[in-house]
Amino acid sequence: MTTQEITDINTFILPKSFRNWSNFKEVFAMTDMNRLFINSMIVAVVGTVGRIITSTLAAFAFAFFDFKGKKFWFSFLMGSMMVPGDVLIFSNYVTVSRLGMMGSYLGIIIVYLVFANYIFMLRQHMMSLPRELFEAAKIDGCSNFRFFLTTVIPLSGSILVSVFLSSFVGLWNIYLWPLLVTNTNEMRTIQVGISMLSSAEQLSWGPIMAATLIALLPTVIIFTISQKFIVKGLTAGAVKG
Amino acid sequence: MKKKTVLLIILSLLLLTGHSGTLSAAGTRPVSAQSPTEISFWHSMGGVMGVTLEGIVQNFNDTVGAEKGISIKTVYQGKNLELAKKLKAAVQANDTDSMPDLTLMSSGETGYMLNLEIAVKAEDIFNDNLIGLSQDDFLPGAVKALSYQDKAVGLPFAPSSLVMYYNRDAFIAADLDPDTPPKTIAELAEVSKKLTIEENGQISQYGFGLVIDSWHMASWIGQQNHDGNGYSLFGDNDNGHADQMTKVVFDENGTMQHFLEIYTAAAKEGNFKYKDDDLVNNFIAGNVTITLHSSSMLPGLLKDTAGNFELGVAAIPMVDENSTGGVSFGGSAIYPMNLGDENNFNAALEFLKFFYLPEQQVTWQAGSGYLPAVKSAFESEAYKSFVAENPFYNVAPAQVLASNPNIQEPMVGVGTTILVILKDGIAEVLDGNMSIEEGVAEMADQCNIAIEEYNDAN
Repeated sequence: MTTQEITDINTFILPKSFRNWSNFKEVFAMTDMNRLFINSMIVAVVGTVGRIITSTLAAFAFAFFDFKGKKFWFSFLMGSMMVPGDVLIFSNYVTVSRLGMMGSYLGIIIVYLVFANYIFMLRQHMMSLPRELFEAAKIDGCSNFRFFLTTVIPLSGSILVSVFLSSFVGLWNIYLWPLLVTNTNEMRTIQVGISMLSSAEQLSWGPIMAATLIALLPTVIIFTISQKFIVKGLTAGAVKG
Repeated sequence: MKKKTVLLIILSLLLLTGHSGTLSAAGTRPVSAQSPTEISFWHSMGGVMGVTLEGIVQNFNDTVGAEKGISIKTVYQGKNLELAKKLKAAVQANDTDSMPDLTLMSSGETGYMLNLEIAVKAEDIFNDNLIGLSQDDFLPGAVKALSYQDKAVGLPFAPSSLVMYYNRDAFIAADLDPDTPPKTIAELAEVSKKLTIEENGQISQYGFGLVIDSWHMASWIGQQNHDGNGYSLFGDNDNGHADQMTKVVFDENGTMQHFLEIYTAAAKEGNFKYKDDDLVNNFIAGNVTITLHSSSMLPGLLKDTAGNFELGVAAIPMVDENSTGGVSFGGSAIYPMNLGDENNFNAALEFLKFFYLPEQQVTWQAGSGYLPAVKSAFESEAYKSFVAENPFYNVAPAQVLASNPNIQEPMVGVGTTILVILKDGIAEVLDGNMSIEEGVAEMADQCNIAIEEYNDAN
C-alpha cells in the first residue's frame, strides 16, 4: 500500500493492487528482521517451556502434598500476582546485571521463568483430579515423580496447551524488558524492531504495518491451530471436580 | 527411562540458554588494546532518521575512524522515554559495562544529566576545548534550550523548530498566491476562510488545522514583545533555565490573553479545525490545507505528499504585527560519557568533532529535517548548494537564526502535564465553554498546582 492510499480518506481495508511490496523491502532494509524474528522465537519458546516446567511442578506440589507452610507459600505466590511488573523492572535490572547476564538470552528469559498465574491455573486443575488416583498409584509403589509424569501431565493436556499459548503470546509481545537488558541490535526482539521503523515526528505507516504483519504471523498461526484447546482449557480449570 | 529423558531435556535446555548467554556476552566485552577502540552510541532515532544517523556513523568509521582506529557501534534504545529509562537503570545498577560512551537524551532530561557525574557537560567541553568548538559556534537558542541553572548541559544534536506547511495546489485552486503565505494569524484567518470548501452543509476541506498545546504556545507566547525585550516568558526563572520553574507567567504578562483574543476571533472567521489529533495525515490526504509542525517532518512530508500535491513551507504566522516572529527550539542533546577509559572517551570526542563538520551537519539535515547546530554549517558551501536546490530546507534555519534565543519552551518536570492542560484549556475557550479570562486563569492555576506538586515532591 502506498502512503497516498493509506492516508486517503476514502481508503479501503485492502490495497488496490498486491504488486507493491516496497514496504516489506523497506522493513528488511532498515532492520535485521530475520535475526529479530529468531530472537523472539527463542525467548518465547524457551521462556514458555521453562514456565511450564516450573509451574506444573509447583502446582503438583500444591495440589497433592501436605507440607508445612503450604497455605503460606501458596498465598505468598498468589500475592506476587498483585505486584505490577513495571515496579520490579529496576530491581530486576540490578539483579540481572550483577549476575552478569546482560545482553544474553538468559538475561531476557530468566525473569519470566516463574509465573504465579499459571501455577494457580494448573493447581486448580490438578485439585480437580481425583486424589484416589494418587493414593492408588502410591500403593502400587509408583514414585511421586513418575505419577506426575505418567498420570498428572497427560490428564492436564488441554490446560497445558492453553498455558503454552497464552505464555507464548505474552512472551512474544514483550518489549521494554528485552530493550533494557540487551545492548546490541543483534539481540533485540521483533517488537523492538517495529518501534525502530518510526521516529517521534515521522510516522511511516507502510513499513510499520508490514512489520506488524510479520510479527503477528506466529501468534495468529498458533492461535488458529489450537483455538478450541484454549477455550476448553480455560473452562476446565474453572470447574472444580 | 522417562525420568532420564526429562532430565536430559531440562539439562540441555539449561545448557542451550547458558551457552547462548556466554556467546553473546563475549561479543560485547571490551576489545584488547591492539584492536580498534570500539565505542557504543545510544540513540532514539527510528525510521528515516535512524537510517541517516547510521549512514553518518558508517561514514565516520570508514574515514576518520579507520585512520585513528575507532569503530562506533550505534544501538537503538527505543524512543526518548525508553532511552532515558534504560540509562537510569544502568546508572542505578552502577553497571558501567552496559553504559554507552555516547548517548542522546531528550531536552526534558537536562536536569537529570546535569547531576549525572559521568555525563560530560557542554560547558566543560567548551571550556576545556575538547572538540575545538566554543559556545559561540553553536546556535545560541539551541544551547540555551539545553541549559539548566545557567549552565550549558547538553550539546545540541537534533534542534528543530515549528514551521508552517501548506498545500500549494489548494492555494492556486482558491485563487490565492502560493508564494505569499499568510504572515500573521489575522491573515491566516482570511486565507483559511477562502480555502474552506463546504459540500452539503459539511466542510470537506479545511483551511487551517492545528491542535494547540504548550509546544506551539512556547513560540506564540515567546514571540510577543510585551515589555520591549523582544520576547516574553512562559514561566518564571527564565522559563526554568536559570533555576527550577516555580510558576507560569503567561497569565501575569498578558500574553496568553492577547493570543487567545486574536486566535478565537480568527478561528471563528477562518473555520479552523482545532480538535482532530491526526492533522498530519489529514494534511497529507488534502483534507486540511495548512498546518504547523516540526521542521523534522519535512523529509517525510516531501515524500508522502509527492504525487498528491505540491508542498509549501513557510515561517509560522505571527500573533500580530508587533510580534518578533521568533520560534522556540526543541530537540535532543548528545552527551559524551566519561566511564573511566580515556581511549573510549577520546574516541567519543573524535566523533563529535566529525559530526559538527558542515558536511555531516548538512547530511543530517537533509535526511532528518533537523537543523544544523553549528553556525559555521550555515556559511558552508555544502549548505548553500543544498538549500539552493532544496529551498524548503532553508525556511526553518532562516526562522531560527532571526529568533531571539530567549524564546524557549518551558523547562519543567511536568512538561507533559502542562502540555495537556494547555491543549484542553485552549480547546475549551475555542468551544466557547469558557471566556478567555476564565480560560487563562484556569490554565495558569492548573499549571501552577502541577508545578508546585512536582517541586514539593522532588
